[in-house]
Amino acid sequence: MTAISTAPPVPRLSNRRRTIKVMRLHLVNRLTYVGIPWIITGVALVVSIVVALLISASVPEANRQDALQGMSYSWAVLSPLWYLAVVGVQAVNAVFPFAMGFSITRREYALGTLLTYVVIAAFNATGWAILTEIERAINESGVVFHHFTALWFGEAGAGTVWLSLFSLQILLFAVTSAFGAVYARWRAMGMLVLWVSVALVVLGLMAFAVLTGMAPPFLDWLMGMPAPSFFAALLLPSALAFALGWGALRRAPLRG
Amino acid sequence: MNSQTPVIQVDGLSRSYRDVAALQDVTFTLQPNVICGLLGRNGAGKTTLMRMLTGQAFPSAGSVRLFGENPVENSAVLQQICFVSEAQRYPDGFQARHILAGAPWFFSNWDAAFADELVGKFRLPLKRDVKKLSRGQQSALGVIVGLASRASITIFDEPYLGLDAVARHTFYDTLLADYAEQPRTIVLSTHLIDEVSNLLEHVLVLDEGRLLLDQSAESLRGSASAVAGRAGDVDSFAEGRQVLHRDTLGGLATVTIAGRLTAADHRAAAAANLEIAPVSFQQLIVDLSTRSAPAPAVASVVHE
Amino acid sequence: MDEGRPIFQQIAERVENDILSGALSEEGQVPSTNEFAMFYRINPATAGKGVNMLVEQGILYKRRGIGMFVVAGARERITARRRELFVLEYIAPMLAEAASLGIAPDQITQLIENQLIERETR
Repeated sequence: MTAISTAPPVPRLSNRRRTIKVMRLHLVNRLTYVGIPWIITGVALVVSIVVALLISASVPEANRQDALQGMSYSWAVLSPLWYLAVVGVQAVNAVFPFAMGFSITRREYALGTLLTYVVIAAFNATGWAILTEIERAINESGVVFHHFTALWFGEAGAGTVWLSLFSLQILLFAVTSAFGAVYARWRAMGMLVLWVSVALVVLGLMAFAVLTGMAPPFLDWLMGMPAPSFFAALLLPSALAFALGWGALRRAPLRG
Repeated sequence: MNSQTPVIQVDGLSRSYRDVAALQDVTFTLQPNVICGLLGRNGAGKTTLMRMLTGQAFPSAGSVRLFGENPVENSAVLQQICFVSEAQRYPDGFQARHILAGAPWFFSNWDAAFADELVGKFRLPLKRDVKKLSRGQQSALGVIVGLASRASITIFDEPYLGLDAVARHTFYDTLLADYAEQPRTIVLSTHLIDEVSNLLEHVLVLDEGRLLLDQSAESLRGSASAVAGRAGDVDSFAEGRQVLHRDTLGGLATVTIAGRLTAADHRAAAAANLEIAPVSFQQLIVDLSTRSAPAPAVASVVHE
Repeated sequence: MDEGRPIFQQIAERVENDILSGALSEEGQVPSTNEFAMFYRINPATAGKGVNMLVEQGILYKRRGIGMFVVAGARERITARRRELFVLEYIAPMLAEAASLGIAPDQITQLIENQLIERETR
């Protein structure tokens, strides 16, 4: 009997193709990433419309405009983001063990997941930014209603709205999946150490800023920062969180 | 067959969690296209070993080679492996149809028509949340993925928890038929030893993290006998032989003796009014892994 | 399948029994290894080992690309070997048991004759 070679008999699929396939795997059930965020968007919008109608019906005409303006302080536009925080945890908690069961490497999983986040965040941000523009046009026609044109979305340009929504989603995904990855690697002890270190770093920075008298100028600088720069800068802590998540995940064992 | 390159080479593999040793210095090789049983009690280290074979967990010491390569983060190797775990977790909202849709993206030999056929055989509901499926239906899903993946190395960890006898026999029959058509390496971890023993060509038995047995199933079969009779007669017959197990009932005793008995042994036993019965595959493994004596001596005695 | 003995031996025996009974005719084709494996729910390699043992013993032969066939004269060969084993496997244990029960040799022959008569008249 001739000895067979040790080379794998199946041609090697490029890592890039498998990474794309991890993205497809995340999206095979589109309810998680696309369905539910948009259902939440729709429900929140309906609630805002009902609130606006109630205000119109109950507030005397003289004060009605002011009352409706007050809706621009509602955070309703950001409500799908809280759900996406859950998705970030779930991606590591459940999709990672599932992906390992499909013989996917940790690197393919991490890159594919990051890619999924970027695509989904861009998709959602685009949708919400378009709705913001539509609402702005409605407002210009004289109907006062604020759901999307709330917070900074009122004044900012479409590009800034898109960037802010995009980078907020990325930050949420990055932070929640980093926590998920630390848990996958070191379990409860890892969580404890992570929370304590985050608290220590925040406290340390605050103490440093207050004691050196750098706090007021720093806050002024932060507040004075143009919105696009601020939201672009949010991608930096996101990158750090992703790096932490990958560091934890690349040696995370699968457990029972 | 022995001149072929082994598909699985495990050398000095150890894994400890804090001070608990889950695996200790496990060394073996597995030839291609063999159906191998990985047997042992709960907590013997079977799942730990399978996770390290598939790059899902990391050794404390020693090495694993599949097709001559380290499986950890090695997608060329991993895409030829399918590990069906009893503890497999699924994301929320995933249905069986989602999983079967995703499988061909990662298993290069995936056979979709075969998967469909198996869905019918096991009557698996495709459009229900996997987390809401019964234990048996979840096992059926795992079995379907494992069989339809047609992976060069397919590893089943307790694949049939919750499956009824009919479904289990469907699994055995399908496994045999498909293996006959497309030979591949199959590792089957189970404690339903008697049910699968006839399917196995090779047997690995783990006990308390150590490799107790690594030998062909046929050489193990009939390699021990149960001798019963009056306690004194039984003990004098057993003297100088390897006793794996001893039971007494009043003045009667039954001992399990390692090694094949010769025709002369049978005559001697008959003369002493002793009854000799074969020991089932399962009983033999139970006897071997409940013994307190150190293991390696046994393995060498049972070896032909 | 019987627990105590290697399965390949039992497969070989079953094939031999079928040849003796005429269920498998000489020069006739026997089922493939995989068919044996599936029928008895055993490992195909084990079934193959049993079949190969019969090839080595000159009971079966392989026609490349077609399958396994019974050798002409296989029946006689099996009968001859089983006759040799008959003494070892049946007569010897019977005599041992008879001795322990105190049955004298002439009583044994008498008992056998009685049995034969009973079989013929049945």
